[in-house]
Amino acid sequence: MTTENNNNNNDWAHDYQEFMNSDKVTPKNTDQMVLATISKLLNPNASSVFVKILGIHLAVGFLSLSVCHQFGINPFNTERSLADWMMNVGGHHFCMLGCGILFVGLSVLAAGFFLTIEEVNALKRTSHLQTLVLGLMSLGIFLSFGAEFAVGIGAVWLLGGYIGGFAATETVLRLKKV
Amino acid sequence: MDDLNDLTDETLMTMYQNGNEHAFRKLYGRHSSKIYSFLKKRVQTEEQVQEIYQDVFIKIHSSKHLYNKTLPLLPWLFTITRSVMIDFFRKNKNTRKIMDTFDLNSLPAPTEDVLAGSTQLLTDQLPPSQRIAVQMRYIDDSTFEEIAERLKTTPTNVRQIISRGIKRLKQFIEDKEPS
Repeated sequence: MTTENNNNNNDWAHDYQEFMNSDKVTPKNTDQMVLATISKLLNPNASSVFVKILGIHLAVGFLSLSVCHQFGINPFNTERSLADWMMNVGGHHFCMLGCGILFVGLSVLAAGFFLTIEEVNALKRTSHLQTLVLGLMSLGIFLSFGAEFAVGIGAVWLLGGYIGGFAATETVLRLKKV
Repeated sequence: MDDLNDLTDETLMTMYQNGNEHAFRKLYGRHSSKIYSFLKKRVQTEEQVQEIYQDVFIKIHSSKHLYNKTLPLLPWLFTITRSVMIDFFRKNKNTRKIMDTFDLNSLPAPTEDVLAGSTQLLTDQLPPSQRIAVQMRYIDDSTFEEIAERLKTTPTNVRQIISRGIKRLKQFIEDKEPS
């Protein structure tokens, strides 16, 4: 076993030495092909990132309704809700802002586990647009499920969603960086 | 991009790990010729060289998060190159042609975790306690507490053992590099 290990080490060292001494120029078309492939991997399409986040948001957002009812929507029939607590602590507008932060922010945080660093960078580049669209789509879904709210209240919630999404994107980026 | 000229391979690799394309291009400019020549010497046809060469860079990209910046970059790049090439020939046994000095059977099977393979080969240079500690830390991703339990020592002592092991590995690699 030891002899085999020594042979492996010698092979490795010999090949490594040869590797270090090699300097044949790579053909230009090969260079271009590899650089283009890696460039594509390093710069994923923002819309494909959005589709991923949207999928995660639908699942996480729905689950989050068990701890924070949005606009009175309570599919899990839970008795306690963070929304009630925020309403008591800071009033209606504070509650809307907090609910928006939680609803969008949680989803983006969860998405961070599934996205690569390149995808998070792509999200960061377009985070304003992505979080805004995510928030607007969420409001649309709430409306379709019978939620009732005035434009002003919806705008406060949307602002919360925007803040939550932006803060979560920054957090995910910091966590992902080496 | 010119600002990157003064940066070490390891710093550039860290930037590449964080998604920096300029850093990748700089590293590519520095070391692609080594990878290409190494393959060219061992692979029969230009078509195969091209195929393996591209696979190497895709593997580097997909494994980049496994690179440990406290270790030198070149042995890591080399191990990936070698593993991808061996893997290619294992899959294409009928078309392979490797130099006589290259004995496939004597080599450990390349795994998906290329860094683990690289670390495994390198850590064979270490005395038992350092080898176990470094392998548990960098291959098994164990905590200092878990390693301490295995080695029957304290987590603080484990940190010192790993630190000494890394220093020894760096020395080993420097000794192997041509001056």
